[in-house]
Amino acid sequence: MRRGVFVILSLLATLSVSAQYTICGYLFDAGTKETLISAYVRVAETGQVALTNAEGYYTLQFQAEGPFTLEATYVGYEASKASVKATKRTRQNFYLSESGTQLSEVVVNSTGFTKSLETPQMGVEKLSIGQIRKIPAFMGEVDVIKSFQLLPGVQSTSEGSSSFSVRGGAPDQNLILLDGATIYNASHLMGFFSVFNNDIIDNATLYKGDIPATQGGRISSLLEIDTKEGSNDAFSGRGGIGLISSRLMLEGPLVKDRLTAWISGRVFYAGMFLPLIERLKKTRLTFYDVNARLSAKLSDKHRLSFSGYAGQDYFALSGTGNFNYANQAMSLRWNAIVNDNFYIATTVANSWYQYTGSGALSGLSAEWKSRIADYGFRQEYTWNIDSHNKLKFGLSTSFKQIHTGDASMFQSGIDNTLSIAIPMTQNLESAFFVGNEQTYGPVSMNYGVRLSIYNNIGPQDELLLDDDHNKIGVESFGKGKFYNTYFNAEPRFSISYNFVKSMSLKASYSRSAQNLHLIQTTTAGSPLDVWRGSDKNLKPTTCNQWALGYVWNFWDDRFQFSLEGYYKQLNNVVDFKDFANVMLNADIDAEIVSGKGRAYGVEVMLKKEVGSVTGWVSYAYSRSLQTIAQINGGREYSSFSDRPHSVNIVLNYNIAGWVDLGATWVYATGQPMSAPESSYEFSDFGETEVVPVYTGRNQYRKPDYHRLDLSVTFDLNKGVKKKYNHDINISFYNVYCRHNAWMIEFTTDPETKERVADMTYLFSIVPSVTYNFSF
Amino acid sequence: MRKILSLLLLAIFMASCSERINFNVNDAAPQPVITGYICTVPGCYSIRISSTSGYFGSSSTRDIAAVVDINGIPLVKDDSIRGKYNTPDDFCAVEGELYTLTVRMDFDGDGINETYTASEVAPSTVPLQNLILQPLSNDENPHSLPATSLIIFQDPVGPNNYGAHLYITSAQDSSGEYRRYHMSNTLSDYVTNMFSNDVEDGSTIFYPAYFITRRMLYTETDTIDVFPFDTIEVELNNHSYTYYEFIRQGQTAVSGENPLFMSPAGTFITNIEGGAIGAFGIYSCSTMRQPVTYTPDTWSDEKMEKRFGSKWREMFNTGGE
Repeated sequence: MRRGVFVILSLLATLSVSAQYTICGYLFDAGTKETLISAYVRVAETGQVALTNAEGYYTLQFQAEGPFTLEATYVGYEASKASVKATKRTRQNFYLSESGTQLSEVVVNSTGFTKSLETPQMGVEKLSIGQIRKIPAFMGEVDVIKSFQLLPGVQSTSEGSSSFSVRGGAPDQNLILLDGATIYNASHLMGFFSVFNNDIIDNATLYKGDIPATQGGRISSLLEIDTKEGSNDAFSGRGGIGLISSRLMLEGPLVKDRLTAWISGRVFYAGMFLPLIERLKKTRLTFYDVNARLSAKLSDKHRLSFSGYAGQDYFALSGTGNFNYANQAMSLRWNAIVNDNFYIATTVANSWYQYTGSGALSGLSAEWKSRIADYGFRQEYTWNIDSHNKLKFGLSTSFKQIHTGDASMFQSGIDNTLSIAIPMTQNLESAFFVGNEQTYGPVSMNYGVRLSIYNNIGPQDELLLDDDHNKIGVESFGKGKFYNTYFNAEPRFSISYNFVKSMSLKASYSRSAQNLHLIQTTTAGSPLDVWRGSDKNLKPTTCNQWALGYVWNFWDDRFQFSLEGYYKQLNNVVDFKDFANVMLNADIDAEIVSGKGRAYGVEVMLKKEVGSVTGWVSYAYSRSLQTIAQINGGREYSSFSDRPHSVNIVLNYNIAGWVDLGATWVYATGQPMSAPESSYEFSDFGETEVVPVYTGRNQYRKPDYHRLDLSVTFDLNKGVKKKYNHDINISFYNVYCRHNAWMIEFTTDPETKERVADMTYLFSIVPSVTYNFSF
Repeated sequence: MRKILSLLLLAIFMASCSERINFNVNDAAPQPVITGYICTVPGCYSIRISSTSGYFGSSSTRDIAAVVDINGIPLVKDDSIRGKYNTPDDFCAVEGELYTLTVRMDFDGDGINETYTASEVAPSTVPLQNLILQPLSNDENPHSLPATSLIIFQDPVGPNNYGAHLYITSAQDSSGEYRRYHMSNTLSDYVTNMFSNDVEDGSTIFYPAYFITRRMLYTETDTIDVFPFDTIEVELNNHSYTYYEFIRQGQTAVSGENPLFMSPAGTFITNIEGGAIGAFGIYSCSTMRQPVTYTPDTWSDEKMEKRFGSKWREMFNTGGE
């Protein structure tokens, strides 16, 4: 560890401050005057590339005055070029026009093949909303998370679920940020839809391991979703009408060039038809989302934006019981340009996730509540030191309150309330981080360190456990007492060597720590999340990841071939004891055991993003194993995410500029599962019943998973961009009706009395039609 | 309370399709299985001895000759049921006393008997305070049935593990004698009537133990019809911990991959020393009874007439024909 810190400090010491010439400015949508985030400005003469920040701002530094040829590019927009002579501070804004037809969005990649050769970071996947919209959608709902699940190394945790695993990690090891606010449960309807309405997304980036030092708290991945800023030109709208859900987004300037806003809503209404069935007339099933953003340009150097999200799922059963769960997130961002080379981004973000279940029958009623609340602050400084170095540093802190569960039951006849209140836990997670992006000719590096500090705060009762993790007592801590602290140094390093024009080699190392654990025994997308912070019993999970990669662009950059291999070593990886009791359990720490883990794999992808046929073919070999003394006798076993082989084929064929055919084929090795190897007959209660005996965890697998999805999208304006644009999308999920296992039960056939395995599957073919429009 | 919330959520859970598949598993080596309980109410109780078998293999288990006793009192082999050993008819455990089950048998066939032992202390009785037949309806004038048998009792401070048994005393028809039926259970349905007090310790607990409907299944295949004047009897059991946990774990193993409350199945808890699967349990009992009352339209006129004769309206003062 000391040596790693020394190397990083040495590299920082090489920073030079010799830059004299600067070109900077904003990239705008020429139509809406909205700034473009994560767009690229490339310098033809030097090969330098700058990425616009969250405010659409870029900076380039030179050691000569030029002139230089700058090319600005952004997904779905025509590139723009300018010859610019650099002075001490030259302002050069770009106004990019949308591509001639809406359908051409898909042919440009936001990352850009050239950029991916140069960027040192590995395992970074970006999908533009144009790409996402062309992928066949489940039930017609275009979904950003399900699109990422088609990339190598990313797996859905169960059929149709928006919960995902990255490089063998558990779903709780993914940090999901919406405009900087954490989303704790990104699922609607048991995971069949994600909470992200595609109309509001500007950019989505998934880091599959080499997470920048500026972010942390999870060990597998970071999914950053940035929403649109909002049109600064005129009022406009976008939406879609589907068979089961519809959505609408409205945007426009409230004060020209000063204040823009948008609001977007989505509602699922398939459940509204349930009352038409007599026996379901009191049953309800629905969800909704509301997103809004307000962006203010306070001056040329100061921008303020507020982004908010609220979503809720609601089930009600025959007037006797209901269950709802809700996500809320909001962030307030202030971006200040101190000078052309120094910016400050300050974010205050809050997020909540809660669920409530209740039921009432005559005089007997019951209610159950659970909640996690997160209040965060973050300040990040960016300093463009010279043309070779871009330094980022800052701090973040987050106060989390976790109500594991409060339940109560009331009986009117005896006027008595029975209640369970599992004490709330409180913790503070803070970090100081510094990272530098450094480029010298064909070599690019990204290195930094994150120092994370995690505190448990009283009042709290901590279990005292014996060696077998059984409760032997309780230790109490007073209100406001910081009674336990974990400190982790998390170095991150990545390097890219662009050794010939079209090829580069990459390598990276990162260490990350996670203090928040999801207490969930199912991978089926249940909303019953219980989060548990690290404490005296539950140590932070840490991960060291090493990766090597190779990228080759060929055939005039039409194709890209990439190969990445990784090895992850994990400490304090957690799992449950046999027969763990996880529901409303105040002594949950006694049910959780920890040990070591390792994951390794290779990901290969061939990608094409220009021409009428676009898409990618990928294969991943991925293993995820763990060793915990209390499980399987201490022998290494597969984690739930251990799925060695996976193949994704994603193709889009654009015909005549106005018809898009989409196809995806997905294959993955079956998920690990436990199965009984023997049984006994139990008859103490009057009837004989076969009880399966499980001898080991995850020693078997479900059948392999595969399915084909198809879609066709017709641009009803036949490829001509008009004031009112509309298209119709017809999708088929699981075209050949593969019965993919969601659950396997071992039971006894009631007629033959033979022991059998019954597989539950959720979907055969699922067709859908969606009408999309924008104006 | 956990059970109630679980049932509520499971009922909400979506419907799906299933099909039978071939699933190959290894056959584990056979292990002896010893289960059974005794109670603080005098009666004949049984210990069952069997063997595990490969999951998809033959379900037949070996008939193993064993010598079984509890605190030195020998249990007698029941010749009608393989592997069943019965206590004397008036066997009764005493609260607070230690009982040791001893089983001697040659399970591995090497000609030498192995000894398996388990010891438990008989738990104290927790008296029921009330039994209410709570109609399962939100209507203003609900029918008598379906109803839940709501039991109310004061939980003593300290760990306790409860279960409940249901008896219905009924006449088969208007001329028949009244008979007492014990509603038999499988692991799955009995466990919905098992609960520990870990989060409700020391509270007045009210628990909807069994759902009572107009027709009740009292064995796997046999039913009885429930009518006014029939008696609902609920027995509250206070179980020894290991047996309670063994039952809970058995239910988890039976339910498998329950998507909401799945818990990883593994090695069963046991209090039997010597290498057997199973548990020896003791429980105490407290009982309350309530008659089923009459409310109009709960039963059809035809059924009421069959059960109570043509003068049933006068009997229930309905004022009708």
